[in-house]
Amino acid sequence: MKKKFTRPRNREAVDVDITSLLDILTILLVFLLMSYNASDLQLDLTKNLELAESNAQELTKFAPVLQVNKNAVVFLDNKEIGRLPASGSMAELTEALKARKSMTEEANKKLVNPHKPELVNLIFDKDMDYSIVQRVMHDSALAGYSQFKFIVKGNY
Amino acid sequence: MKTGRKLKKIEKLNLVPILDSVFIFIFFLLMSAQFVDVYEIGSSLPMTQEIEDKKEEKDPLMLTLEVSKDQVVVKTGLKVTRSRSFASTENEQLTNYLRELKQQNPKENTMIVKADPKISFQYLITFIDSSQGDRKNKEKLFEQIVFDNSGVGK
Repeated sequence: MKKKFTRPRNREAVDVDITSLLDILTILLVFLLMSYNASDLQLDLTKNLELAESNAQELTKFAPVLQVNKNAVVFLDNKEIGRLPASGSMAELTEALKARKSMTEEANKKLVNPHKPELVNLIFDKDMDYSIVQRVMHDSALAGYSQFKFIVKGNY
Repeated sequence: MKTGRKLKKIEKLNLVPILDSVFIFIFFLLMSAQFVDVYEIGSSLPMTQEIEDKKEEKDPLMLTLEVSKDQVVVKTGLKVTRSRSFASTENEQLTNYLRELKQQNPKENTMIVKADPKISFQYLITFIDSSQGDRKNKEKLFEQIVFDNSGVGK
């Protein structure tokens, strides 16, 4: 049996009170604006790595990211290179950095604002011995990187 | 007595466009949010450069910070070397001393850092922080940091 079509009665549109929603959105907006970081470096920290704390205020810049975690395992742009040897230099690291540098130089030819090819971002675990920092800096220098930026966590 | 005024219905503001834009803005901020504030400390390797042999009357500052496990030694001067030691807890005194040096040598901005290989990275960063003055108030002391990997006391 066909249902008889009935015209809906004229009802007044219901007014939804959005004041509370607006309040939440405003708070969220302020919180996000306060935590906004204008840096052009996207950072993904590896496991077993705790950043050193500092009151530095200079924003990070785009460059290759070299991370060394608590177990002395080296990552270049989140790709594992290997574990640092007990002493001496790490040939795999120097080779990987050389390849990365030539990639940057090649990419720079097409860019209007080229990146600095001699700059590398270094991330070390805060409890890491300075001797390891020294060795990584040395290996980086051998690959042609002469400017280092230590990435630290703001603690103010 | 009744007045002839009629009560006008106040029109509600149309908040839909502003809500749309706020939503888009929130998505943009959420996507680009980094919840750990990361910053950088710049440094470079020692570079050599050939310069003309000029007879300078003033002794260059040649500021060197030697960081070891229990103390920091600040060395200055090339012809006449002066040094002053600070215990590892005297960060404020170190900053004040470097402030004095900056006032005496306003054109100098380079600091050579020599560190004991056994110290931790965090310990070194703490002293580098102390040597940079009050960063919140944009104070600049010796911002150009050069690492000398020859080691402390060499």
